[in-house]
Amino acid sequence: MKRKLLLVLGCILFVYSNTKAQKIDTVNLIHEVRKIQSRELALNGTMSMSKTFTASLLKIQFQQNGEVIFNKDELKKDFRINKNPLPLKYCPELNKLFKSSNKTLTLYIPLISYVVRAHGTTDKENEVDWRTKEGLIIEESDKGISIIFSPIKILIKASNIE
Amino acid sequence: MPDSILGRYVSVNYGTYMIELNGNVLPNASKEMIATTIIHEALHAYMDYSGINNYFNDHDSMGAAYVDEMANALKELFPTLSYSDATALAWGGLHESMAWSQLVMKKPSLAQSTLNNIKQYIDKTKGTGCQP
Repeated sequence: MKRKLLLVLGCILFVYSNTKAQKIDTVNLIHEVRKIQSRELALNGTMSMSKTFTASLLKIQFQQNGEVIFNKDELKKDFRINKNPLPLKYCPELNKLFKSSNKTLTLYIPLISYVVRAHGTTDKENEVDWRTKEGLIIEESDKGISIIFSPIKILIKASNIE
Repeated sequence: MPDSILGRYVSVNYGTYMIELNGNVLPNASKEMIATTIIHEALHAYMDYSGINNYFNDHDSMGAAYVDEMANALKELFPTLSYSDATALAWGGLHESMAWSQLVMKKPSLAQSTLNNIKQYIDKTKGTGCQP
């Protein structure tokens, strides 16, 4: 009886620690991805990354040795501005811009986007959907965590206004 | 800003850029042209940020590799815009690029109609205006 009890307790502990590890992994993943924002990494094209993540990548390769390889040619093709069409399309916004030199519109350009999912991470606690001050966008979808990092912040204003 | 320049960009700090739009010309232009200007300048900012190019060859790269991308972005913003007009607009500001010179040499009539199209979107005889 004692043995059975110990076995059950052991199983519970194992499951608990595993779940805990997954959460930490996701946090680490986000932390690591943030690091990619530095210009140095973007230029060098590599960074270290934990091996514990599975990743489905559109623009970046995760190597078995933990390196992330940027494909600069792919990066080059990934210019997308359509993500924020609002200020470009609607007259009220544009008219405000041309009426006052103090008015500024803001848009972001995502540089690269890809989908990453930590092993077995499905719990809602790990969902993230926000844009940080640094401009990192992380969105949760049914395919995993979609990360669009290093978006460029563009401020638009009109000059020569009399 | 002289009337011949519709927009320009400056780096504010790392990852942040300011696009200045010509407040004399663009308020009277079509919104397709305004959007084109923003896209063009944003692409400069993107190239600067990415370290892909430098100021001197941005336009060559845009002409060689980004005209379709810019045209697609415009089509997405303005679905009724024809692809030929979107492409013409995307050529705006690239008339000193090598790709433009090649277009002029190989397809002079297309180059001329592209210029005409751009002019029409600037003076709002084509496209949609914002000001009454």
